[in-house]
Amino acid sequence: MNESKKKILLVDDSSTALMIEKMLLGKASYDVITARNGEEAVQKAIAERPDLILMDVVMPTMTGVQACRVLRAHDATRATPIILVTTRGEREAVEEGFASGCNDYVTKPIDGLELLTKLRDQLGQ
Amino acid sequence: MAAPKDTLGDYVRQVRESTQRYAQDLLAENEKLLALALTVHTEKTQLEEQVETLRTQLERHRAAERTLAEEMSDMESTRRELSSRYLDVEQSNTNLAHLYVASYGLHASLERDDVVRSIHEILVNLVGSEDFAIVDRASEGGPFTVTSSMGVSAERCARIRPDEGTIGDSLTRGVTYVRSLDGQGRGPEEPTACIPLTVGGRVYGGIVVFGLLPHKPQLEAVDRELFDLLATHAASALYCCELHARVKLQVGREAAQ
Repeated sequence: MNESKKKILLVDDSSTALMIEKMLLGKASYDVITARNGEEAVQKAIAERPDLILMDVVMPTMTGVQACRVLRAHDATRATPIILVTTRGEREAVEEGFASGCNDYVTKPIDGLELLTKLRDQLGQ
Repeated sequence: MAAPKDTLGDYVRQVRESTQRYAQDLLAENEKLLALALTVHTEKTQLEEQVETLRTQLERHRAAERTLAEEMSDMESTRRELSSRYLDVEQSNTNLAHLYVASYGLHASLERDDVVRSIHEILVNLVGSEDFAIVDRASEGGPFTVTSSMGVSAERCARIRPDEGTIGDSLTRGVTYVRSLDGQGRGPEEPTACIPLTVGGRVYGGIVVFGLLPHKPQLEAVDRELFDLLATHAASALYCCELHARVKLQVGREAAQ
């Protein structure tokens, strides 16, 4: 397996969440870039073309769900896998996420193994 | 009158000759059959030997198959054990990462607002609660009051009695309270957990967790470790902020004079 490192865009307004996600993904040998809100996420996703976006739902300026809709409407990011991170695991919240175009979701607190499994699944690894 | 006698003699001779030929043919056929029987017997013996050899080989293969099956079974249990260990190690990694991130976040700033934000983020992102309050003492020895909260309405905040009941007991004794799994005897204001924030054995405040996120059924071992970490590190971080604020104020005053 001589694959180049996959690039992951982490989006969260919480330093704590970003740090834990970075630690979990860093040890799995991914290149990680970050954004602190949905708006910044859209800009970075278009400019940096990550292989996958892991994005919190509740954020200032633009929520994860809104950002997901914008990313799905843009040619450059239409097919980029998006995993939403949510504190709400109820059916309505999950359905709203999928309706916005996300590929999968994980709930907080993040379980490292679950996150890596879903991430690898979306990246076809 | 001699002719009939000759005819009889010819006939007898012919019969004898025919009989002799027939007997010779039979003998020849018998020889052939004997040779054939010998060949068949030899082939039968060879085939029996081959069957015996194959039977031995089959037994050997069956024994080898049994050994391989046992080895496969051993390998499968080893694989399961390693897989289970891998999951444990991954879980431990995640738990350690949680503790490290929590500790790092709490001591990353000397501003009280930053530390309080960090406590909020730890509770939301690492414990899995959006229903909690932080209580503090306005003055040393004074009553505890709610200074920060999430998911708790102002009305509910006003109903919280940090000096009474389970919360009061936990904060007075300086012992972390975690509700039992069955949740028996739980009143409407009974917390899920109460973590006294202590520095040098003195309780400076507390974190009261009223509920967990809907998809999180119960607190886990790592949450208790996080509570232990919060009890000391959050307390010392808040205490440092207070000292830092005092020093800043004093330096400001002295500079103004």
